[in-house]
Amino acid sequence: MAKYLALFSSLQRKKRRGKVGRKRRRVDVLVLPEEIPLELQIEIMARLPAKSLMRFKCLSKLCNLYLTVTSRPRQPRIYTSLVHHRACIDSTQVCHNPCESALLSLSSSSNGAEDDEMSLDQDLTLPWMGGHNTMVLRGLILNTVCRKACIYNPATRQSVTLPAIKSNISAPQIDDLNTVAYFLGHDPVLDQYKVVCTVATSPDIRECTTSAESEHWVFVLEAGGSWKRIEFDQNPHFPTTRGVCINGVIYYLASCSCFLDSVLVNFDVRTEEFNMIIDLPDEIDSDIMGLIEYGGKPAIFDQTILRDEGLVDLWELGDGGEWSKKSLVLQPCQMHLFDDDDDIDELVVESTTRNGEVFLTTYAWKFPRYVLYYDLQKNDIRKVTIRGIPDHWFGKPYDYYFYSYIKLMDKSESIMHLET
Amino acid sequence: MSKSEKKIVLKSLDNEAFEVEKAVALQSQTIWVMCEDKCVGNEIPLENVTGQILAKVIDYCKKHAVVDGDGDESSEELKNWDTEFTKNMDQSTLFNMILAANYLNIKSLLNLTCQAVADKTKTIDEFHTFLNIENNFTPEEEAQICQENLWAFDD
Repeated sequence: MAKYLALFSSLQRKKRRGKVGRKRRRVDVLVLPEEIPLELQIEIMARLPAKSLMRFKCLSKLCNLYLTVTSRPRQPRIYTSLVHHRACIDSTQVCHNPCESALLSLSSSSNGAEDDEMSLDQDLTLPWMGGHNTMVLRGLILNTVCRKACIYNPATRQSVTLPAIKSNISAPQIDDLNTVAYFLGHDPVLDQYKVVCTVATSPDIRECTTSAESEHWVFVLEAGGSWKRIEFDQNPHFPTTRGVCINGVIYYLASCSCFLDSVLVNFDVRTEEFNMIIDLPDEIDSDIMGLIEYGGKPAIFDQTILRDEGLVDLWELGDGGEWSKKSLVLQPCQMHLFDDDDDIDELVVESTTRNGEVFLTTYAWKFPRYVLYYDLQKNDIRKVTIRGIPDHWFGKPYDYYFYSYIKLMDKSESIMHLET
Repeated sequence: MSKSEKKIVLKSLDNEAFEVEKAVALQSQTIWVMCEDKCVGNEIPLENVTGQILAKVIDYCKKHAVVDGDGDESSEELKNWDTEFTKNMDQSTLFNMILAANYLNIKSLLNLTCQAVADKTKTIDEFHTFLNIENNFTPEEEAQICQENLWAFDD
């Protein structure tokens, strides 16, 4: 930080001489210093909306420098990406058949009632924004488009597509499962962002005669970055969930041989090594339950009977790699929150907020829809309704063809500059 | 406790004296440290703050001391009061309030006044005028960076 302050100071020396005199005349009754110290200028800049900052960036070296050197935490936001047509759910389809989609940000309009409401603001229209593979980390959004990783910073509206990986794994055969899964990680020690990629293929699930293959790659997010293959000597695995990055370690769930065994995969962002692969208890269904951060550790949240029976299980991972289960019963007076949701397909565990609440969304075709915040400490659930989107955004009167994904960007809004 | 121990006198740069409750004044970390040190009497000279600004700072501290003490008012009301408090301040008052809040080390007031400036700042010229600095880009540099950030200019 000292280095940056020195940079700021050198800029500060170029004062507007003429104006100083004028200003002094105006405030001379007060006989006070005519400038605000640097650290206070930074305080003010930290409070400017991202859009103003980006606009000011062009006009002021001070702002430009501020944007390059800092990434102060900003207000939490919820983003939802809306995809225009069902065919776009599969991001590989989008390559051949681009469809309209939009990234919307939600602003809270707390009306004091128990049932808070949120409205949507259009953030950006993109040709590809989509899918359930989206990962959010420290204000950045990672998405997979046409098997390539795409990183988007909604605060600065920069987006970067990483080059394709030249994998040795052959193209998928009929009935084979083939995936390119990307995970975004941050190393808090060197303050570095990396994208990890697992290319995997799994043979026909019904036959299960040959073993799965997987390949692992890493990309450091910096100017001139490129994909680097990582040596991996453990069992090949096929990622089944989105990842979560906790304190410099990326975790994701995967299945080994023939989808019978589910494992938790653990990748150290700084050393670029897969450290351990942990077996999951049999009761965990890694396809539908959610992998989250809880108390600084990976945990699996079982929401499958929350809506019908008001029960949840939290599987926590101990230091010795053993799993422990904690069950919670929802307060009976809160069961009415699920009363009128006939259109809801299922609840989806999304992430944890910085207050430690579990953030759940719903798969639903229609608006209005809702999100839930489950506070496990207080065993209290909070429901927030998201109102509908104006018809004119997509020029269609029906909500039915939108498939939307809701993401919480709670930790920070990054104003990091993405090198291209 | 005698009356004199509960009260404290703050003296501004232009020698204006304000007698306030100790609990009000101690919201300032700077004054708190001075009182702890016991090297000052009941009168604390504040050499960087004018009477006009100090009066406003004391208004703020009084409001917040009462609320923190007995919780009479909701945080909602307090927030509205804060908004009203900064709403009609002119640029130079805000400027001096920020300096005073910083010098007196009152975090919530510094936060409030910095936020007020950020909220009022709509153009870069306003920002530069407020901070009293000049734009130092060459026209070429400016054109290039603006091109990269065109989106920020459509409203």
